[in-house]
Amino acid sequence: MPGTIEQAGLESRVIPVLLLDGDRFVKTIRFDDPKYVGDPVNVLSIFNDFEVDEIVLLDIGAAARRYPIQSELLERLTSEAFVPLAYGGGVGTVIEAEKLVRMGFEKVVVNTSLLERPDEVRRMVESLGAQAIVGAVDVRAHATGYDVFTRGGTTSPGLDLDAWIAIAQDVGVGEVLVTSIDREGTRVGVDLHLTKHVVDAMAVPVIAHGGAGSRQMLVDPIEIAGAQAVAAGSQFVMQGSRNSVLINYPTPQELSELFGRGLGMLPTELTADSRYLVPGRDLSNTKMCRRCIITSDVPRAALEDSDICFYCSLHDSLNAQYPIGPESLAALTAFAERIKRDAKTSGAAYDCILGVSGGTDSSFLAHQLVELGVKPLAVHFDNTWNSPTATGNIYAVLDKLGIDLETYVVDNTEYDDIYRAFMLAGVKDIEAPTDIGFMGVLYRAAEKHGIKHIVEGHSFRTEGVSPMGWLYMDGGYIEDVHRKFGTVPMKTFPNMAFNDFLRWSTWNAIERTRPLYWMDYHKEDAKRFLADTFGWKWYGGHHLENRFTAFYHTYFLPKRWGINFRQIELSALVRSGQLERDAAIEQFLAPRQGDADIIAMVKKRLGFSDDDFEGVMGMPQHNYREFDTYKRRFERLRLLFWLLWKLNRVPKSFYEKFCKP
Amino acid sequence: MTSVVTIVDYGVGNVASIANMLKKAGFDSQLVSDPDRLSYADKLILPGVGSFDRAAAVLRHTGLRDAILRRAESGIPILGVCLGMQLLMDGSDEGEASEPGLGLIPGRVRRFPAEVDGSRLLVPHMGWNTVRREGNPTVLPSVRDGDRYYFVHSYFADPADPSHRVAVSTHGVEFASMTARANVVGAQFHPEKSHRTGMALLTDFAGGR
Repeated sequence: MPGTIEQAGLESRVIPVLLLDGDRFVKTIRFDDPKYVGDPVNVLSIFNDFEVDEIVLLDIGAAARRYPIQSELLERLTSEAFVPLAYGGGVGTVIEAEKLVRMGFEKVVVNTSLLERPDEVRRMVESLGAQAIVGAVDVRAHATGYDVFTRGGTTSPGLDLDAWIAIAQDVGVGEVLVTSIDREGTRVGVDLHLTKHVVDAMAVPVIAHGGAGSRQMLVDPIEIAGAQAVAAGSQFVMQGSRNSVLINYPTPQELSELFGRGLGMLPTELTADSRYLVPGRDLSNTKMCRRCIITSDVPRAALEDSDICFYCSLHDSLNAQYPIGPESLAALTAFAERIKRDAKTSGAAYDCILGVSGGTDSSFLAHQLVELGVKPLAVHFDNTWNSPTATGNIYAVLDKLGIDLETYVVDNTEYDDIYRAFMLAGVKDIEAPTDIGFMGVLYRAAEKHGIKHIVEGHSFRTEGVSPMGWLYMDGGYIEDVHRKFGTVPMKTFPNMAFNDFLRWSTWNAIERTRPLYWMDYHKEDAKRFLADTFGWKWYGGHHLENRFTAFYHTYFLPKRWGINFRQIELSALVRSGQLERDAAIEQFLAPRQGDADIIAMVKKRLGFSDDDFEGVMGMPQHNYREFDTYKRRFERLRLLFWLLWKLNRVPKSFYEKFCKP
Repeated sequence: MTSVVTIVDYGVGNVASIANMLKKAGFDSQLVSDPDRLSYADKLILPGVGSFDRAAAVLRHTGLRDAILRRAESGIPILGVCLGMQLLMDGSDEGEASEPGLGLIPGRVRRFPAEVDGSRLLVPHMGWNTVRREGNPTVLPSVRDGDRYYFVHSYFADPADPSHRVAVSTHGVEFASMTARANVVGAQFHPEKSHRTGMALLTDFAGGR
């Protein structure tokens, strides 16, 4: 063989491998036991935003069960990705390969076809060029070498690796993807011997795949075994010892440290789309609170007879209840000791459940809990609309703090159907499913692990209290809206049925605590601290870490309902002395800009044409009272919920908002 | 208002990717395979993957070759991408080397050497590489020294006149990763697959005069 391989200038590639099974992304272990990872459109668009080197998409269903190539889904995916893409799974003819390239795939991966129809693959090479055809080989090790498997690892054609290499060379594929079935999904490291064997035999680039479980494991296949690229699945879609779903990719800094490459282009500002600009508020005919920026049109503002709003007095009473000083520090320490004791008594492996979103509050609380010696289990409700910043932040913070994570991923089709139902219902509470799903997942995790405490990252000092008339949610409401306007059965959505909620609050005695109330929590300081300590990133606005939530806050509410939630948060910051009132007014009056990409994604995923979307945005306004909710039951059981509030099982705001007429 | 970008659709290449990225960048585009309709184009992108001979033959048979040459002569901006850039040259060493190129930029397309200084050179040149500007800095100024782009190719354009190279990259040998002559520009890499860097280039082309 010739000497060293020259590839000066060219960078080693780090490639996420994504497995399609029907219309779902899954992850397998040793080609078996597929676990749901998320919505393909969202996952692909997250990887696109991470600016990954390349993506390999393998349809394991098409490979094993031989269903036809899912052209419509693939077209939706390619329109979302401006990175090099390869597709594999059931490609058997030149016509199919050409169609895939036209769709926007640079490369077509052939596995079974290479052995069963080598002449057809040869024609693909002639038609599209060798660089467009990747020969993929799945192998299992035996005592003296490697056996080849086809049809997604299910079939043994009775061939060893060297015989396969001879065929791949003869057909003339332009690249090889070699996968160790033994290592796939195990995260124990890439089979370097296998990789080197293929690298030495082939004169084309080699992608090593199977077993690269950590950032460091990406290096050896390239530096020791000589591969040009390394691919991984689990590492980029899972996190931590519990193998929880979390989309991630090395940052440019990490890649620079691992492979000595440059940092790439600096972020640029994209021009805003004027179609989705919602003008700022006109303040004439409204009265503004003299202390914060709440206006008389905000429900329960009570500014008719007073210059100071109801929310300011609520703030003052909470502030009196949770004064910052030695007593709050003592209360915080006592709380930490109590939950540790409770875990010891009940034999739970964790002291508390911490819901994480990648946002400032939950990230900062995670750090504080670890400082207090508390062992939390982080729980994430993935509604399949995460932004890359959210997943990147969760990964960065939990990884450094050594906190275990459990992710609950809802079925994307089902969830989009619930969103669609809420949009069609004409109500304003379209984000209720996310808030309810989030709490539902936290309670379920607490029940499953026998954990008595849920901690919440809420702070009245920075977030304020959302007005009752702006947002209503409960499990019954979701069920009724879905029953009336949904089409897909609700199976995986972690709803909070009335009886479940009652059981968790009474029989399971699960407490809910907001430790940030005891802290002099300063939002800007927290953001700076998180960025410096964890490489955490700000996502440009409160609640904007999720794409649908961003749509809801920056476009849906301001445009259709004239509601700007920023008013609540800014008011809270003014009250707690973290922001000048004038600066808050200026920010509040600024127009809101809906993100054109996110709105396009909402239309695409919820199945709205441009006209449908305009229709839904402009339809008559409806109210939660027109639907069956638990509100009456909450009101009837007011006394019980008063008791549960006193027992720390439900927050005061729940009692105040849901149990009073 | 900016003009509509016309993408030559001759059955060779990833036309959808280019159209998708233009849309993402806020530009309208149309796929055109009818040579007569090309005469209305005021901005043209010539994509392409696969073999030079086959693509050049398709252009000739369909009449697109003459239509493109007429538009080039009229002075509208033309961008050749990957094989589309190679097709701007006089001809290629690839395959039978029987089909002529468009001849808009003098010079030939050559194959990467199999060995450089006794070491095996991996061909195709596939992956992310950086560019360095040369020559005329006013051609697509969004492309800057050190920008990363995605490349997939085994042959490269070798302009006879060095001043037609506007960016170079290195893979074993230094080669022209961007060429330009008057209103005609070529990019060997795939801007439509190069994240924001590529989008900046296409925005530059589609939004420029």
